[in-house]
Amino acid sequence: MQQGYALDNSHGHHKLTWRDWIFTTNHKQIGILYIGTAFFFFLVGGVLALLMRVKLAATGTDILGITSEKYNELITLHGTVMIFMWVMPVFSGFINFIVPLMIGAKDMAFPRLNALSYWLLISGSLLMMSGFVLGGLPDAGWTMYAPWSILSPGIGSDTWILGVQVLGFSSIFGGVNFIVTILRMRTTGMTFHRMPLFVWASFVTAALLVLAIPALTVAVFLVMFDRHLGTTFFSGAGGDALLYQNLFWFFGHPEVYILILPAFGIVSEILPVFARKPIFGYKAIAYSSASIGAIGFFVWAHHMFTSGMPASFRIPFMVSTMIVGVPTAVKIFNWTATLWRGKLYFKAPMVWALGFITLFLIGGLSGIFLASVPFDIHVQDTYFVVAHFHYVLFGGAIFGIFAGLYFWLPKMFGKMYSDRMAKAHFWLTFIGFNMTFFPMHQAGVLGMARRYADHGPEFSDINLFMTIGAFVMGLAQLIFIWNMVWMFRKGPVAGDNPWNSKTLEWQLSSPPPAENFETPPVITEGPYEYGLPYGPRVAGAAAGGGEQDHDFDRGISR
Amino acid sequence: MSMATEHAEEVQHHSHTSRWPIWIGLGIGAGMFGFLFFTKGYTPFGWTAVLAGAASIIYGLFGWVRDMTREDIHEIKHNVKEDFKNIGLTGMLVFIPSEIFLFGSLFASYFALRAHTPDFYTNHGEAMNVLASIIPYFNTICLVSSSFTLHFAEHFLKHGKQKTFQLLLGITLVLGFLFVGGQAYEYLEFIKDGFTIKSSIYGSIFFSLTGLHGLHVTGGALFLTYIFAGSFRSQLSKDKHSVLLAASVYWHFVDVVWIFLMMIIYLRWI
Repeated sequence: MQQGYALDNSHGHHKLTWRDWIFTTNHKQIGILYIGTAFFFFLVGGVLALLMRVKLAATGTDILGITSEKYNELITLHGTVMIFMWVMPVFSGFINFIVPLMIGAKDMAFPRLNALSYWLLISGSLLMMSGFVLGGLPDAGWTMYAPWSILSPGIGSDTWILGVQVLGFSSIFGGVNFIVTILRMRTTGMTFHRMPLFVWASFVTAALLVLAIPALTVAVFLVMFDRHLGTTFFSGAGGDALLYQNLFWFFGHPEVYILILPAFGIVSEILPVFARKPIFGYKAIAYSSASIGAIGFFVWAHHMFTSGMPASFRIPFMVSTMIVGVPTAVKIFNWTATLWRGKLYFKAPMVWALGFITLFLIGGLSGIFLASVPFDIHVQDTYFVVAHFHYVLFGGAIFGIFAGLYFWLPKMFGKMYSDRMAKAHFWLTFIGFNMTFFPMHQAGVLGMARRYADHGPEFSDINLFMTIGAFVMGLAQLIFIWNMVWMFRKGPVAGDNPWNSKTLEWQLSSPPPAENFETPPVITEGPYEYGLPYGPRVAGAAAGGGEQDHDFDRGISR
Repeated sequence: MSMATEHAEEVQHHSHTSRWPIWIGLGIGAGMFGFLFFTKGYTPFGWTAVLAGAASIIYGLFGWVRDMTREDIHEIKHNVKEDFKNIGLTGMLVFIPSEIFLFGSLFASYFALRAHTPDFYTNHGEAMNVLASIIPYFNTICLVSSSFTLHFAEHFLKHGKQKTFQLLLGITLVLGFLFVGGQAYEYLEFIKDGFTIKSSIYGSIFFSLTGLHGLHVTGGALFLTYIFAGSFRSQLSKDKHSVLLAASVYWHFVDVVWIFLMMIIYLRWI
């Protein structure tokens, strides 16, 4: 509806007031709000995780007053906060900020709906956290499995259900908005096969949001009815707890691709820039995202191999799960081939992206192990599973997020952080991460059960080691915070295109003007034409493509 | 509209702000907090939060709709070409798959529960008489014919026959609200006969599915009411009716869901 107005582009930047921020419908402000909010919850979820590790550092004590009941609340909130209030919203933030710029659009397709999505995130998060004030935190795990989610006394489950319902609406509206933006708002010449790979990944992610979340909506509504209206869907006479699991994982498995696909997109953006080479296998990467998304709807029951499901269902789900390994490996091979004989610049985004590939590969391989029914039955609900999903969700998603933050923060704020601090942040996180999660493979195979508040004495040493690793990781995040403070206070001006990247967002000022493009750019070639003697890909734009490799050093800011 | 207000509107666009999303977004949260207060036993707080939330949502919605209306009138008056034709329709076409998965999940639950409940259909006493009564047929006729009236309303709008369009849209609305009324009546009859959401598994899934569908019909009818009201303020013309297209696609979708409900839940053909 807004598009019809004759828009004046001349006003450029003005200082934003607090009213501009809370009433904003501009995709860039909303993106920053998303990222800031999400980062706050990353810290909350991190503290919860450290409390869990403190509890597990010793056996048989309620250290810091963490009883077994409190521990259940910790695992539930840690998982929920990290998934629904950190990784999902931070990716929404990236998509919001970056995608309209990358496709040459003025804003999202529905700017007001976009603002509504953000405020629903706030409402949902407040509901999710309200147990701290109202007394009664959720304690049925992030999966809210019936029947305990129904039988659990107090209002813990209710806060979770209402919170996740509102967060779900936020994500569905966001997903619709992203899809319509990508379908309809691309600038002239920006064909699907010229879209940057982050846009592809965002498109698939948005499709998964729109299609997967309704199953969760239904599942938690029915839990709500069971709790308050006296129905027996999942528990009690005639109730079917397995139905809950099926509904939940029909949402839950596409959900894990919602959490990882944008990170794939981010890494696909970063590698060609810092290897100064065109991306290898553009179409293969694009279509592998799409096929991961599609196959993701046919694998959900691999979460339930030990639930008593008919044996005849196990094999098809095992096979479909293993098939996901194919498009995922396609990506890894293409990224490696992109690096091959490239001119590598080990700047912070690149270092984090390489860390991503390393750790995600380990998580991906343990995923193939887990897809296999006999192995899965052995390690079901052990720390092997915990190791696996932290390698893909922390080593994957969160390393991808930091790679993306270090890549685009200069664009968002026009200032440059300290590369040294960013690398210190990387190495400490990387070391702490592996100290924490690598031994979990071993503990899991030896039979240490997940979600228990305690463990046998034979696991004492290994758990103490993991706890130390967790604190190393926690400490590392303080470096990031300090780096941000430094950037905002003293950071040098980043310049419009510090990485000499060719995608559209870098052809604008940093931060970009409110209306993005004065005149819609016209696209004439693909987004990754590095190291090739091509002309500028944005017709009529002075900055941008065309430079040779050696210009990169000059353009980079320290 | 004076030049001054027009100018103010444009300024608001330039600053990229809208006051309404935050009212709706936080209003929904406040309403949900009301439910938490009720379960906690803080009844006065509960009512306060629910009412404040509802007021906030309504305030936000009215403001939002008012802004949209002003923009539409502005666009029509100044003959502004839409940058992205029918983008609202695209939004609806992307949203409907989400709705399909929503109803699909609930239908799947219905089949799963039916498969392992031996006395799924029995043990409902008198209620089965209502289930086999004339009401669902009446509702079917209302909803299916409303799809046709809406389709022809759209047709006449495209051909510039504003009055016929309004008449048919009005009939569509009446049929829609008749359906909602019919369902409310049916619910009352069921409850009188002791067939409720907690009387049996069948009752639970019956009320969940039909209730979810009824909410969608109500939402669609309110959407059409907004368009009907707008048609008197010349927000729609034969060149500009994207919002009607979106509403009409939604309405047809809700109609199709009802046909499945009728076949599966009432007639038990599947």
